[in-house]
Amino acid sequence: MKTKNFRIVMIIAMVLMLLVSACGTAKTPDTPSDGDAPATEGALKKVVYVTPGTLGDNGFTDSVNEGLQRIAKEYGAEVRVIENGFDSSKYAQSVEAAFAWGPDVLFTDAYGMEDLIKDYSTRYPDVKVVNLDFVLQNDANTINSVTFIQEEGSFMAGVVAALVTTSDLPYANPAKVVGAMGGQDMWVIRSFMYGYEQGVRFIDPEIEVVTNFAGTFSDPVTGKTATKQLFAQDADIVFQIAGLTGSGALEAASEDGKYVIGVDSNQNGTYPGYVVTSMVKDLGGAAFEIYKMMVEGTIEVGKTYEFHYGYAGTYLAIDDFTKAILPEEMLAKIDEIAKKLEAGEIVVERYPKE
Amino acid sequence: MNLFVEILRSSLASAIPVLLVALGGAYSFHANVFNIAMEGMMLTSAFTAVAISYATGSWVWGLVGGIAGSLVITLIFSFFILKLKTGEFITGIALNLFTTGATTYLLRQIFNVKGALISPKIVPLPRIDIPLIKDIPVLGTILSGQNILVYISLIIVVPLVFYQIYRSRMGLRLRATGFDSRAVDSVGIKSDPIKFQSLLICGLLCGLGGTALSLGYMSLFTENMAAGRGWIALAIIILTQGQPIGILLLSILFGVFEGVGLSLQNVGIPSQFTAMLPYISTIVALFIFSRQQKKKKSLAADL
Amino acid sequence: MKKTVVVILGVLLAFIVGAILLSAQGYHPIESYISMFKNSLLTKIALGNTLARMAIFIMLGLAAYFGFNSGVSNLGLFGQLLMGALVATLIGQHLNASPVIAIPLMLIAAAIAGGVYSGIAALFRLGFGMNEFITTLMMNFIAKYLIAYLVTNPMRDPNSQWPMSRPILQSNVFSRIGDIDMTVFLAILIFIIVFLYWNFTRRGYEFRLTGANNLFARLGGCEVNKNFFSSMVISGVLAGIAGAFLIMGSTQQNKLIPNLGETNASDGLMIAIISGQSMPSVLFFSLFFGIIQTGSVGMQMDTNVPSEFTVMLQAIMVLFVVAFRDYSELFINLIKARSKSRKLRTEDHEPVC
Repeated sequence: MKTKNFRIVMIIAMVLMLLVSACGTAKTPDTPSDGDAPATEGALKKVVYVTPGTLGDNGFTDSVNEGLQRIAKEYGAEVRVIENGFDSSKYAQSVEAAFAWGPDVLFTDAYGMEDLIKDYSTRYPDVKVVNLDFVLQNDANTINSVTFIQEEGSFMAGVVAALVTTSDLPYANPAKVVGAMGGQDMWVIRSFMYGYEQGVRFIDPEIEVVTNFAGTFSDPVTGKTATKQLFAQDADIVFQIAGLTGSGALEAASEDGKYVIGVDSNQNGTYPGYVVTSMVKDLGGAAFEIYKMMVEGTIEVGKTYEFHYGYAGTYLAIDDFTKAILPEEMLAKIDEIAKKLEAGEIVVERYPKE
Repeated sequence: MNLFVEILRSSLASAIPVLLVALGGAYSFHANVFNIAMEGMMLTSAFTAVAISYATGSWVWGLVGGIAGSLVITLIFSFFILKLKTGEFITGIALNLFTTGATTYLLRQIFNVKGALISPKIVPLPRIDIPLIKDIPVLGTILSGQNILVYISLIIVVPLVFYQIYRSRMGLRLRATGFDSRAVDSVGIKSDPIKFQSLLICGLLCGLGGTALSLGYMSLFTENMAAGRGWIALAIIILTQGQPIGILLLSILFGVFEGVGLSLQNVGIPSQFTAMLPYISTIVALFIFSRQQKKKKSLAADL
Repeated sequence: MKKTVVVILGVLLAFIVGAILLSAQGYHPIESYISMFKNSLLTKIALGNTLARMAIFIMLGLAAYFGFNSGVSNLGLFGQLLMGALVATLIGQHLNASPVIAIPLMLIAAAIAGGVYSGIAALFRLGFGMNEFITTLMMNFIAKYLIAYLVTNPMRDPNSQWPMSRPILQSNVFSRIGDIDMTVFLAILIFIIVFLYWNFTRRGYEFRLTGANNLFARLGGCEVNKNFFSSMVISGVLAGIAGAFLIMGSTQQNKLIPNLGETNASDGLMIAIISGQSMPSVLFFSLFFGIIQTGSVGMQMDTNVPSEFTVMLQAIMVLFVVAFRDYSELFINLIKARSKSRKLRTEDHEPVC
């Protein structure tokens, strides 16, 4: 009985193995393993984005993906996204798969996989590697990095918050208090808050800034509770810096009749009348611009590109939703300060690295 | 509105999902079915409630959809443990893992979104202002203007569950089954149908709980939205030994802990530690409860 | 062996359901599956990754298996893993000694950390009768936030914007033999030791007995409480070693990050559940899960099948195998009983009720 069943198992296993190996060899020809794809007029046809996180964060990763979709649409490139769900045991094979695919351009935000990206970018010199959000460099000096100054965008968010709380807009209260709700307590989020506070003080140093952290980037239920607590402390406008958790903040504002500022992508349309503006960190725009520079051959290999306030950097999304909430003169004032910021007349202090 | 009142108000609203799920779990507790699939039932109903509300534009259908989603998982669970005689513990864990995968997958495949489904097309449960209470200063802010499931749970479900478990024939049979199912079998009442009944009611209440979470307190769905609330409900059931009134009090207490935890950041406690509070308090509550049980037991031994 | 056939049937059926799902969404199922296997087994690096993943799964699967089959509901693998990883990181960052000393020391310390963390839950149970599956579960959350605090504050790598610790010293990272990480050999070695302990020692017998029938074990003279404690601690030790592997493995990132191993821990639970009462199955399913998960990325590249498909596939597989395993027993017994009664009937010419 035992041996008989064992034989069956072995046979199944062998058949499976045969199937796999036979088909494996049949399949290889149509996957170009090295980067010598016939150059169609110098175009970069295969683009891949490797992220330690996942799509659907309503922020960082989705923003990059937007840029990639634009690349796919406007340049007809084939685009792939590799997600890792912050599962570090997956990173090695993901980077391996990404490079083995034979891409022309590889975008990444290499948090936690810095060494892998460095190592592979040296081994695959034909792949143009772009690291987003912080500076990364290999020994051969071939990686392009893109950095953002979130303090600048957040500064403008602070300006808006301060103008709103000192105004007589319908949902504004007399108390000079504004709020900020962060996801996890970490350096990046703190740097957002640092810029935000500077913006608030720029308008009126007397305004109090109340903050809290929901402790997670993926639980809107806690985000809502946290935001409501800020409202209860007399804040009439809250800047949410919390990814998916932040959708709870948007909901809280619409429910309590208060104002909220979105983050990362343009969230103005989610709750019209309550979302005053969004501080966009335009990773997608930056990725697109870098790709464009590559196609046009104007890129300087190994250089770090720092995107300031404005398109492809961080900026406030002012659209019809905003215009429906804020009065004309306030918009003019915001615009004026933004122009000064762009011109370098206002300098926002960067959050120290410690 | 000051912070304290706000904490109480949102604790009440955020406690309701846990309360409903724990009340459901009370039925299976009394029937001696170890139902740890509640987390999965809650998650599934949170998803189906939002999906149906989105599709139909009606919160009533959303509510029905939420209950239906939970019942599907309940039927699978019942089929496994009552018909196939699989282990409750293993099946429960397997189902929880299954629902996490399935809701994530369905969200991405049906709605083509990742992470969260947020849309104005999702119609949430209506909020109700209570005429007289509304005008009482503090109490009014806390009690009035909550969503409809808050009132249904407090006014209808809790008393009903209490009545059914302790005062009705069904409750008697249920508790008898939990006490010794063979004894019940021997007097000609089949224990399996009673277990099935209790699981169905549990599924129904978990469905309400999931709906209260995704359409009541929120009006959106995110991946793994239950986020351990089913587990907290389970802990509450064990702590209260399935007594509805105890469940009510403890659920609200846990809601308060969540709110207080966040506000402790104001006195400078790091957010990572404030986020631990609900879990630490569960362990502490379990500790206190177990000490009391022990005392009771030793008292009984003395007599 | 009957069970093996049942398990394989369950796995095949899950694959068939998966194929139906895939074709329903317009993907080519066979091509996708082939791509999955190709990308996890047929290149040297992919194979190395698959095996390294398997090593983690073996430890976690074994940890959960050990608990479940000795009557201990240890759902705290994640927390115990984190504690192991934390200790391994702390030592690995600072201990600049010969790897012959440092690496075993890190492993042992991680094992102790995991064991202590699960031991606390065991003491809660024995001392105060607190249900261990709730305490272990709650301790997961506590460990998770503790790690989050540590890597954002005292242990943070100041060069990184995201919370993560500094990496451990390069000399404290496991080496490879060919493309195969040392953790693979270690995991198999540990598996063999645990297997022998479980099957051929008196204590192992007592564990199995307690898992099968607690009352019987107690009446038979086993020290049930003591066994409960040891079993819980051993389970935690195994999870702690998995944590050390996640820090020290050459395919890993060698640093502590939040959420480290969270999905791995629940995969470990799945592997233990699906393995039922057969320890060798842990090995098989660890490899199998390693293949599915490693192959999923390549599959996404080749065929565009979203990688979350594998989550679904695993979940379906667990349900099918659990259903098949338990039902087949019932079914076989039923058929046996029928044929017996038929035999009796034909012999006695009397109806049997």
